Amino acid sequence: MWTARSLQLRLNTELALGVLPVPAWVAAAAFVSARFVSPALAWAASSMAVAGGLAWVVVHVRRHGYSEDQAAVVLDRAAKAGGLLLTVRERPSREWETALWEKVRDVRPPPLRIGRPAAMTAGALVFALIAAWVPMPEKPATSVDLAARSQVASAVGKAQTLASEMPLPEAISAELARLGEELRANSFDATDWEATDNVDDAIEDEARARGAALEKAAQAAERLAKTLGEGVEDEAVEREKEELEEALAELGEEARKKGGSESSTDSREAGGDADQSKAAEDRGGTNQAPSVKQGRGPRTRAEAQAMRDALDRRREELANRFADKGQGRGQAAGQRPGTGRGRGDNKGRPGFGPSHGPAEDTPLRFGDETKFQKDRLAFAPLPEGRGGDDSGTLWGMNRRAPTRGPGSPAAAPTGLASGLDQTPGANEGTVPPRHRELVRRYFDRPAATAPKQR
Amino acid sequence: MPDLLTADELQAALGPAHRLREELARVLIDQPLVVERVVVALLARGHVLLEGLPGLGKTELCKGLAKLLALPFKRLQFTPDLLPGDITGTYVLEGGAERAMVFRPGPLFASVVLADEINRSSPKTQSALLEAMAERCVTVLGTTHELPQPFFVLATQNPIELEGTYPLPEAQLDRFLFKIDVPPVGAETLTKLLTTRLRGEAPKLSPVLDAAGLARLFAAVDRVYLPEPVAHFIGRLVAATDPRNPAAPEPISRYVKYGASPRAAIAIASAARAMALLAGKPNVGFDEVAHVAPAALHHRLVLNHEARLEQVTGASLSAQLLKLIPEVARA
Repeated sequence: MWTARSLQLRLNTELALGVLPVPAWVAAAAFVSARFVSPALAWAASSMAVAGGLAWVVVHVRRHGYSEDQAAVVLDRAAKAGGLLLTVRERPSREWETALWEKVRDVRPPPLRIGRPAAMTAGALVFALIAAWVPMPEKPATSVDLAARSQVASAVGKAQTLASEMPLPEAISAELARLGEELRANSFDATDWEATDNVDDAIEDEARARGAALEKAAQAAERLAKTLGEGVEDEAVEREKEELEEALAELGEEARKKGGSESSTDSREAGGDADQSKAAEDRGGTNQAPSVKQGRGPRTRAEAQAMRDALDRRREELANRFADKGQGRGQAAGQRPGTGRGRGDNKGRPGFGPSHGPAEDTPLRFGDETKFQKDRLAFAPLPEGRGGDDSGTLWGMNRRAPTRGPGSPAAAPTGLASGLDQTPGANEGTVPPRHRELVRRYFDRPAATAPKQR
Repeated sequence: MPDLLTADELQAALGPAHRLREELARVLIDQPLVVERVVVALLARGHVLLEGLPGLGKTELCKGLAKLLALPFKRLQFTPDLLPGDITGTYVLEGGAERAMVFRPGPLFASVVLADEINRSSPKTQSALLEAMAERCVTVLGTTHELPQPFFVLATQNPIELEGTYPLPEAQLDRFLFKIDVPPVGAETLTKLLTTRLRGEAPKLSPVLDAAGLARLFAAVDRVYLPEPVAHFIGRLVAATDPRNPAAPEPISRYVKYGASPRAAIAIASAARAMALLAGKPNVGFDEVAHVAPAALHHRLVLNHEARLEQVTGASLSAQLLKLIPEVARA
């Protein structure tokens, strides 16, 4: 049997369900909108929206809902009690309560009208579920991302080039791995740009050092070859061999320090059998240098020459590869967002010192030489087909000198017009159609001829 | 607060009330609403103003009520030359050797007073009824004289023939519980009238209630319970008639110059109690309030010129008000 309290709960529940679609859709919209920013933010935003929406529903019901007295009036009306229920609530009377409950017992309240709000709330839930199921499109790569990727790719390429010659230092490998992670996490910032520059410089430094070591070993091999060819005494040969072995040992030592291998393959690859080197040359391999049995060195001049050639080849190959990589890096650096090379924070990692200045082989200019470089300003005509030819045309256009009107003195054509053919109609084919009439009127006709009427 | 009326008590009170209504319906044929409202006003101890065209039986109704109640009855024919002393009474010099001023009570000193054509006398004379109707006493030369209990004023007036008449002041209108419009009758009622009455004379009536019976009825009416939500509804109704009230509906704020007074709320509550008793209920419900409110409110609304121009009446505004004010006030 209904009481005022139970009817109040029912009426307020109906009211709350009626307004529930509003916060449901707000939460669904917040969830979908926040997904475009961040998936984690989506759940947080929707949770806050749900909590806020439920609080709003509670406040709304408190403000617009039914009080118990109001629910009693509704029940009194529904039971057709004529105010008796209200009276009995205030002035209990056993006699009249019996008559009252007989009326209230037969009250059948109308069914809850929650179909439409329930459908709307379910619609919001379905909308949110579909939005959660549909994957978000990938963020388009920005020019900064592409520039960062190409920069790191360039450094990785250089590292791979260096790794083909010697084991890559662990610090460089770790740094490249970290930069790759930063790219994947889309958190490549200015410090990472600096770190990329630094690791790039470090790789180039390593390559230069490697090149210098190879050069030293090549020179030692050449000296040995020369000594062997001159037929000098064994002592000199031994001395040269020792120097060569030292140079080869440096190559191996350096590689071990950087790459961590105990017996470096480089020392074996740097010297060695002339047959192996010849066979390697036949195959076209660049790093297949003759092997050197430790302590023995090349015995003949040919062997020494072969070793020197192999070392030279490797040095040149390394230099050439880094020259190509350096050109590629310059193109990527043009897209970088403004940090440039510099001495910025390299996150304190050892092994990467401040960036280097200009290349050592570029001569410095001082004083007036920097202001005026005659070779840059020397006259050179435009090449054929690129705008200039002997007739003085420029991009296919002929110079046009204005003709004199009646009574005006003849004026010599100047500038571009001075080089053009002054014959009337000579250059008409090169003038656009819309200008031909104009040109013909003012420049082609003699002074006595009146212009054509259009 | 007294206990609720029991079913037996209700039944005991209903008998005389219904008999009174039935007998009064014999006087005024085919006017059940008018009769019911007169009985309700009587049970609520209120005064009634009957307005209608001449010859509709307003005076007969009042005379019939007086006969049925077996109470002292006086008739006042209001004429333009009537003076206040003619109504209330006055002091006259009497006595032989020792002359003294003796108060001679006027026709107002009766239980049922018929004030016929009340709008024909001057406002000065009309104002003599103000104190009597409100406080059931009169003051003459500084001396207050109590009027008999119960005391009813049944007034009649003619809505036409306005020449030489004086409209009742708002203060006096406010003292009437109901202003009942007696509508014209149709052909069937006229046929009944002609066939049952000789020369239109009212039937002979016997008293059905005396003063004691009436007192018991009054006590029963007083014990009819008014629940708080119903009282709140009455309060909101009366408050909504004030055009300055922000909660007043648009028709009120547009057409009403002055709204009803707290006396109107008391009148509605009293009339609703009487109505509930007649319905055999121990309490007042929203239906009773809706039934009596228009008759209790419409003559208390002072309308502005716009209402007169658009022929908006107090009755129509009262009916609109009941539709616009909900029984349960929700935010």
